[in-house]
Amino acid sequence: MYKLTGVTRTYRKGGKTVDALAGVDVVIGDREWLAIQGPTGHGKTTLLQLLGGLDRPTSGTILFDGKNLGEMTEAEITRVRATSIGFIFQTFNLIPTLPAAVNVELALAPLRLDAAERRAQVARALDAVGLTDRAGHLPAELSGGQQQRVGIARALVKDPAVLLADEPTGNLDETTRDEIIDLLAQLVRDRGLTLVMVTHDSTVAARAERIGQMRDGRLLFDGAPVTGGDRQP
Amino acid sequence: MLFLTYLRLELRHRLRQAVFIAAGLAVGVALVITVSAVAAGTSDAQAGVLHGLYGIGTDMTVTRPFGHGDTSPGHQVNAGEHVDWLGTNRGLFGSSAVPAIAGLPGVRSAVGVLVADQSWTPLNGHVARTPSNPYGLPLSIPVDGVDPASQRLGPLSEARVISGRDLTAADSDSDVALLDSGYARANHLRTGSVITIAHHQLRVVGIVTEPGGTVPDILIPLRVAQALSNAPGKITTVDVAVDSAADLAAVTAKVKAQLPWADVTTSATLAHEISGSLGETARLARDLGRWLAIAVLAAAFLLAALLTVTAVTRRVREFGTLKALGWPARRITGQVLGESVTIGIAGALVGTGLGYAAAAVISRIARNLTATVAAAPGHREPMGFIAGSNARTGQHFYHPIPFTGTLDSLPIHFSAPVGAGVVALAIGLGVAGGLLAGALGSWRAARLRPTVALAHAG
Ligand SMILES: Nc1ncnc2c1ncn2[C@@H]1O[C@H](COP(=O)(O)OP(=O)(O)O)[C@@H](O)[C@H]1O
Ligand SMILES: [Mg+2]
Repeated sequence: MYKLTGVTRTYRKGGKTVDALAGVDVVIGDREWLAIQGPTGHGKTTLLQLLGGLDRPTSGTILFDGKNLGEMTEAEITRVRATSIGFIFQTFNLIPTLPAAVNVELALAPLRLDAAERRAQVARALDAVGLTDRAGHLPAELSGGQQQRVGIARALVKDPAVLLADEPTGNLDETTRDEIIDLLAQLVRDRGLTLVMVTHDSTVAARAERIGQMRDGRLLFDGAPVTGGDRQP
Repeated sequence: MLFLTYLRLELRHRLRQAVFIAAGLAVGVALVITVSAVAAGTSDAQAGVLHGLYGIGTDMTVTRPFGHGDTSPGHQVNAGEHVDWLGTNRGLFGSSAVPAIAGLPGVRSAVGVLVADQSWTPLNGHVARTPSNPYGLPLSIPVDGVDPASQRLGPLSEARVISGRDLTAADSDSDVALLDSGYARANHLRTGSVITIAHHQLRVVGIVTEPGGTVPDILIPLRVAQALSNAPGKITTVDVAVDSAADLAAVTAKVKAQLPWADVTTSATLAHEISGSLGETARLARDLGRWLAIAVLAAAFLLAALLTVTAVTRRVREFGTLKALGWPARRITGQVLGESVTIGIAGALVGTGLGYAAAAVISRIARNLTATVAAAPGHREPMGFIAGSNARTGQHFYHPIPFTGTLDSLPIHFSAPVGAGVVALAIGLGVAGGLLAGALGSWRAARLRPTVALAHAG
């Protein structure tokens, strides 16, 4: 799915430069579930942004399905995001003024679907995350776990190839965390998705097929899950 | 439609702010409409005043300043003496000026008028003393000598014959007269009656009325008027119509070159002379009103822009999320623009309603304005006298004095019309306010880092 070669990303911060990514080389296979762990400030989010085409590398190449993301026009990258990539956020990022169903529907807006088909897909996605009866609720009327389910429905509704999740359980208690991870695991398996998930939580990381460690902008694999990782502050 | 659902729910969420912005725009738009309506009303009213003075179609009036030997001499009047003569206190000039002006390029037509007054006392010489005539001076009755062949210009241009007939070319030397309907009614005169001017009898052939009420009391053929006032071949006024109003200044210059003594008055020069409550209203609408409208509109635009930018800044994460969902930048921009244009349209509609209401209220309050006009030199103004009496002999005397710029106070029917163009402009302004705010907002949104959606809250 992804092939990253020598990917760097340098930020300028008031005269100083920060190498958020300092040469990442990795191949992420189709239908693979990759967990990325590592302490805060070591480049995990930056890597997800590059994988999602929200940002471009300072150097190196990112091949997505064989196409170089760094060489695509903004319109092409936007199109890839709209059709093939689903984001799941730690803070859920639902639009507070819109009911759950409309939040999910927003992900279909860039696609040319007629209203009936859009609504049918939204209904299926909400059903898949078990929230059919909450379709008309505003985010503020939902629990954290329910909000993240809406977030997952929004990421899945367009039937993407890849899910990119940044600390999807970071704001949830343990019981809810396990429910959400179970749900994700099931959906990824059923739909054959590639999942790249950043997490501090080793329990969560342990569910993945492979775990990478971000250290000072580099992604390291030692083959075995790391236990007792850092906790979220 | 998702666009509308999102727009509606977002605006409902920010209802207080949206109402606030819309209200600001509404006040600005309402002021623009009101001020424009008042300005249109005053310019209509001014045009009405000018037409009243000149007659429709008259673009320019040529007169001659009063000078020595121009007019009838002063008269010594003995108490109880019967007075009846026709005279003028305006500058006289030869009627050859009419063809001279008519021949100038840019002039469509020109007619000469002799503006005069009949001074008159009853046979016993005793005029009732009234507050407006404390000395019991002879009555002064406005009489115009007009060219019976060409009445499309001048005092008769707007008059309508309501009884009898109009003057015709055949009347040039006939002892006939037209009467203003008000004068005829007050003096129990009708078609067929006989009146006396300067001891000369004339037959009333028609009664005329004119909406502005500014026709002189009596109209007689020009040559008859010249004979009766002892001023053969002389006139006081030439009414001129030009081919194009845009040429007015050029024609004015040509007239002055041709007739160096001429005073040329145009509606443009006279508009500046209009004072009184109409003049005040016009000035208020023109100066204060316009600036107030611009200031309020600018403030409303600024407010809308600031609040929209603030709101957009608060929605950083929302727009970042939309971007992550694959929304093209222009779609996000469109959403922001849609919201503020909707607010702008709402403000414009409410403002249009308010503006209509304000214009209606002003029309009602200001229905009876008066216009004080420095009377056109060639036309009607009160006759002036120097008057007194000799204590020893008991003789009264009076002397007609030349026109020196007396003021006429005319009642004006005022209304502030709201034109379709103004409404379109106002709605355009409201939408423009929304667009401006939205453009600034989406410019701000576009400058936001696209990655903020993933930035952690803590
Ligand atoms: N937009 C940015 N501008 C400047 N520096 C940034 C920006 N985003 C991230 N960084 C820096 O890059 C490094 C990596 O950040 P990030 O990828 O967010 O780490 P993580 O997600 O692992 O906590 C940090 O030092 C952070 O301060
Ligand atoms: Mg991070």
